[in-house]
Amino acid sequence: MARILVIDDEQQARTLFFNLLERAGHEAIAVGDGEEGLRLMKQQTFDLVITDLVMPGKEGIETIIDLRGQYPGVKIIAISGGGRLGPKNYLEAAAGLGADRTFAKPVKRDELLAAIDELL
Amino acid sequence: MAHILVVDDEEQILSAIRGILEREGYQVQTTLDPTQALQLCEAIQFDVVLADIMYPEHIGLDLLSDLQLRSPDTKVILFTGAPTAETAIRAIREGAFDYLSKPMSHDAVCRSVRRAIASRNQSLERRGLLEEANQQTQAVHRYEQQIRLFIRHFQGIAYRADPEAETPELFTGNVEEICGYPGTAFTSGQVNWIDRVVDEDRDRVREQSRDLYGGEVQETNIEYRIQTREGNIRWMRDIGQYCDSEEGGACRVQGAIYDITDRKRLDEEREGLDRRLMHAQRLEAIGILAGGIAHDFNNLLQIILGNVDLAQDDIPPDSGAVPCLKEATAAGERAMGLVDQILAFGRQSDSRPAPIKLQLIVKETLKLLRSSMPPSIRLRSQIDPECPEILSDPAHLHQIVLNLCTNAHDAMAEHGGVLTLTLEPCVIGADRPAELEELKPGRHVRLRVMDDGTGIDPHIRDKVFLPFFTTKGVGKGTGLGLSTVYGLVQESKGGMTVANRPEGGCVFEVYFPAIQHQRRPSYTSMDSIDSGDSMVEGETLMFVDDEPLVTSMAARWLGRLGYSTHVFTDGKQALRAFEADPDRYDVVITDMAMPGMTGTELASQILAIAPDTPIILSSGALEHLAVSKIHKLGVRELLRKPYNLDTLAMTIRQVLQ
Repeated sequence: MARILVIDDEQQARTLFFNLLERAGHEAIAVGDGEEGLRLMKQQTFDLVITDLVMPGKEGIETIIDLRGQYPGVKIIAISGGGRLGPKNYLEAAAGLGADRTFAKPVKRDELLAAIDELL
Repeated sequence: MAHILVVDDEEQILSAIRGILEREGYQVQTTLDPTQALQLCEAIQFDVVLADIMYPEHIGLDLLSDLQLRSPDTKVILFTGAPTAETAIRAIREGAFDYLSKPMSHDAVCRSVRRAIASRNQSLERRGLLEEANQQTQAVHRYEQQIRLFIRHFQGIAYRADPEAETPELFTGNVEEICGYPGTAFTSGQVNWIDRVVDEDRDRVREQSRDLYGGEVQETNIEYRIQTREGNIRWMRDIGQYCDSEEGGACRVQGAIYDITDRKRLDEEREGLDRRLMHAQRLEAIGILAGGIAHDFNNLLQIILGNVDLAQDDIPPDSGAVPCLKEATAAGERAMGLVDQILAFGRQSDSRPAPIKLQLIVKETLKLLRSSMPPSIRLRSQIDPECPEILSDPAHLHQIVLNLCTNAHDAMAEHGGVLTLTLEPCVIGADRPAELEELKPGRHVRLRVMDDGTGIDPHIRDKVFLPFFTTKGVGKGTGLGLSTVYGLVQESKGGMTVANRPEGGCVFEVYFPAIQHQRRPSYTSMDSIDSGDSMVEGETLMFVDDEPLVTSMAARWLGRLGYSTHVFTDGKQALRAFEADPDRYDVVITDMAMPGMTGTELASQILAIAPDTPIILSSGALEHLAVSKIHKLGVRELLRKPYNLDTLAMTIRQVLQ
């Protein structure tokens, strides 16, 4: 059982990840953008952050850079539906900037949970 | 009024003659001195000079010749008081107009002077006309010269024709250089200009000419192609005009034909460039759009598939909802495949290009197609096994072949037909068509997929590679098949063309650049295991491991990667094979712990023979090895057991680089 922060601008995605993690026995908190996520990180302790990449406001790549800078120990999983602005692999960028694992959406439940177990 | 000079040495005669002539209305001057007479003649153009011969000094005759030099038009009438036949003849022979004897009657003087004046006027008139004619002739000559120069330097053909006549009167200029025939071939009727016009343009030209020659239009300005004597096609611009019966003559058609081939070619090139640029821009824009669409789809699919998955937790396994949810998942997964296709077009998917033999991919795909094509469609293939390797992603090539064949199948779905697939090497030259402009000249492999279906409507020819463009009914095609092919071909640095076949159906041609390298002869020894059909024919590897299971698996793996592999289960055997032909092996991969000769021993022996040989040493217990010592030995890489295919491939690539 781990404390997991979910960052995704899509409300339905937040609900999905929240349900999926809670059912697997994890404690999850879901927020809508990177700014909010980082604010919450200051107040609470999380073992792992699952973040979307393409988001309005503070987007995923920037969030990962800040997380890595401020919380070197936290595990990060980046999930993305792909690039919105052309042939650019955001997931590769996320991995290069410190995400421990990356997944393309749609991600399978088993794979995501296995990755979490592996990382923690 | 005529001007007359009278010369005599007798005053009375002078005044008598003056009297006679002035009464007749002439302007008269007289002189006693022949020298003064000449001076006067220089100053004044006299019409007639009357002079006494002044026998015996013959002054009059001398005066005559002097006068004729100074004033050739002046008529001279000589007279004398002592006429002889000799002087008369001499006077006339020397050019005198008349010869009178003293005493002269009034009438005789007047008659002679009148005749002299008339004669002078006549000769003046004749000379004037002659001069005028001369000038005109010169002008005509000059004009002709100008025309000749103009025609010689005219960069086109000038023509003029009687609308009623079979052949043109004039067909001149740069004729031979433009069409290969001399102008006379046309004026003589040996060659007909309209016959040189290419078939496709002839009716149009004939129609316009008919209107012009019939006087229905005053001017024509048309462009058409001709075939030259050498068989080349050249573009002409023909500006013709109808001239109404000029100056009372017959009416004519005349004009000029210019060779505009070069300009036309430039125009076409520019147009083609514009069109391709626009096409490329549009495709790029769609690529970006596709990336965006893919992103949104993936996000939605995440929510759909994730929730369906969670819902399955909550229902009993025998619930009727289970198959429904399974169907929903299956559909979601199909949608994922579609998104992958969109991304493939937007070139965002991963591609792993490797040297590969397209003929193997094509054969594999054909196997698949044979089992799925309906009997109404016959499949014919012609595959040249000698096609050189190309650099591409095998998965992409599968997709290209499959999509083109599927497209051909769909075109013939209704009436059946023959799907012909050919694969052959070819050479792309500098004269490649515009669509293949981006290909570098050189060796290529050409994949041709032909069907005898409905063909492509020329109006949509430019659109067939656009994503989501489809002629198939709703739900029957995504419009992604050909656009995906286009994107993947571009990624392989290839090019493609599409055309309708004259006999019906269409033909797609895809060109892939061949890899430029020397191929080694493949080799199999007693101890080597046939690694099967390899996708590439590249480097040769030596693989040594005492465990036969490992060597047979490695042979299969390496064969799939395209390497020609010789495997050995014994270090000493391997060393003997290496000694026999040290140049044959590009990389040696050997296990560490082997009975007999160990991996490090083998490595050091091999390096003693060929110090540059890349060697990879594999071991299940790398921790226990003195790594620095092994590197010092000259071993390039260490491979920890167990390894997977990817690690093995990467390590081999590393040492080869």
